Amino acid sequence: MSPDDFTASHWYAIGRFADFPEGLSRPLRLLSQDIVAVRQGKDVKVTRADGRPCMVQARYGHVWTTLMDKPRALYDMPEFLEEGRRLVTAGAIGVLCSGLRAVENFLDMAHFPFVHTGILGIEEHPEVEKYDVSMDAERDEIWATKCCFFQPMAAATATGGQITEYKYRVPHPYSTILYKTCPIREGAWDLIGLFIQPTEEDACIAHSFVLVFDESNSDTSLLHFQQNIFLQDRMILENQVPRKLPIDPRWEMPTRADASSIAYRRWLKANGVVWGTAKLAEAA
Amino acid sequence: MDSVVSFAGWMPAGLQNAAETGTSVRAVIFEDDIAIWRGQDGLARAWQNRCPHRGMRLSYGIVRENRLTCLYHGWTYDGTGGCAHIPAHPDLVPPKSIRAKAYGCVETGGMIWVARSESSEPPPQISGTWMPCRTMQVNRSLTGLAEVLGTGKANLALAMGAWAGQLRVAGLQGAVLLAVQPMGARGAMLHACVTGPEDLTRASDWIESLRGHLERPIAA
Ligand code: FES
Ligand SMILES: [Fe+2]
Repeated sequence: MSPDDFTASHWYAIGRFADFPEGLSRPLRLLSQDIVAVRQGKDVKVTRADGRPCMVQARYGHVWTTLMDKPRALYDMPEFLEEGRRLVTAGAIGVLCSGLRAVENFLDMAHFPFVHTGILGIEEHPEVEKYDVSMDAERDEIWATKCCFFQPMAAATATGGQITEYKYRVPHPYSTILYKTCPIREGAWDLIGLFIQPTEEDACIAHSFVLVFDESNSDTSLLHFQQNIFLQDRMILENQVPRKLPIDPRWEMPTRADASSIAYRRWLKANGVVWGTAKLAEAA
Repeated sequence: MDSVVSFAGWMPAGLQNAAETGTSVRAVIFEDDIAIWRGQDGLARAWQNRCPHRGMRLSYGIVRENRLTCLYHGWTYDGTGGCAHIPAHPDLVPPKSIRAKAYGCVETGGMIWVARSESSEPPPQISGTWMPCRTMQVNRSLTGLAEVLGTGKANLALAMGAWAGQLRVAGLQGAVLLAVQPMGARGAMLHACVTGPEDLTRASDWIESLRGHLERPIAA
C-alpha cells in the first residue's frame, strides 16, 4: 500500500550526520520505498530507487528527507536555539511495529510503573490524574499538558520519589516530544524526543534525542538511561497485537488516562491517515 | 470414545505442564494467538492473546492468585475474563463490557485443549492416565495426524479426530497419545503423552526422530 497524502507530505529523520560515512552509499527504507543516502562533503544526498533526488535538510541533530516535491514545512523546536542546553542523540533502534504505535506508547504515562518499574514509576503509585489535551489548530498539532505522575527517581541527584510534571507535543504523525520539569533550573523544561522513520506499515526505526540543562551527567550516562528506557518499551511494542495501530474506537478500549492517545488517533483519522493503521476487518 | 477434533472444534494447545501454576504462556493455532494461564486454583484458562486495552499479548501477563495482570498497564482480569482493576484509576469500577475474549479450555489426556467460544462441540474426553512426555516444534506445516503417520515406526491404534490419536510405537510398552497443533506458516507442534514413566525416554527419542523425518526434504 502506498502512503496516504498526509503521511507522504512530511519530512522524516533518517539518521545523524555522523551515521553517513563519506562516500559510502547506504540503502534505506522509508514509507515502504527504497532510498539511498550518501555523504558528499558537508551534504548527505538522498535518491530514490529510480535515481530521482529527494530533498534533504539537517535539523535537530539529524538528517531529514522527504518523498514529496512540495512537503509541509518541518515543525519548529525553538528550544534547540536556547543557550546552555546539551543535545544527546541515541542513534537508531529498529522496532517491529507501526511507528504510530511507538508514538502512542511515548505519550502514555500509565505504563511507567509496570514497564519502567523503579525508574519512571512504581506499582504503589499507578494513578494517572486528569490532564489537559488540546489541539493547536494553527500549527495542526496536539499538546497534552498538566500531566503529573509519581516518579521514584525524578533526577539523578534526587533521593526519594516526587510528583513530576510533563508536557507532550505531537507536531507530526511520527514525531513526539516530552517536556519534563528540569530538576536544576527553575521554570525550565528538559526535552526528550522521538523521531520515527517509518520503514513499513508495521516496522520502524526510532531515532531519539535528549536536550537538557544538565551539568552532572555524562553524555554516556544520559544515553544509557534513554536506551534502557527505550528497550523496555520495545519489548512491549513488539508484542502489541496487531502491529499496526487500530484507530477505530470500537477495537481497543481506552480510559481517561488515554486522553492523549484518543486525541492522537482522532487527529490521524481527521487527517486521513491510513498507512500504518489497522482496519477493523483485520481484527477477527 | 472417539472425540472429534477439528479446527472448528477442539484443538490441542500444549501439554498440561506447559502452563504451570502461576504462569501464562503463548499458543498459536493456525492464525489464532492464544494466552494460556493457570491460576493458583489449578485451572487453566485460554484467552485471546490480546489485552482489550491496547493489544498487549496477555501471555506476558503476571498471574496473581486467580487473576491475570497485563504487563503493559497492569489491567487485571478475573478468572472469567472480566476486568477487575485498572491501576491508573484505582477508584474506578471497570465497566462490565471490558472483557478478555475467552476460548473454551479443558484438560484431558495430559494435554490442554481449546475451542473457539462459539464452538458447540463437546470437549474431548480421553480415558486412561496419560503423562506429558515431550513437545517438538516442526518447521513445516501439517494438515493433520495422518500426514505424521506416514512417517516413523508407528501404527494408529485409535483415531481421535484429525489432529490426535493413540499410537503403537515399536519398542514402547504402552501407547503414545500424539497430537498435532498446526501453526500455519510457523509450522506445527507435536505433543506426546505416554502411559507410564518407563516409556518417557524412548518416546522422547521417537518424537525427535519423527521430527527429523518430517523436516527431511522430500526426495525428487
Ligand atoms: S494493554 Fe493491557 S493493560 Fe494496557
Ligand atoms: Fe515507555
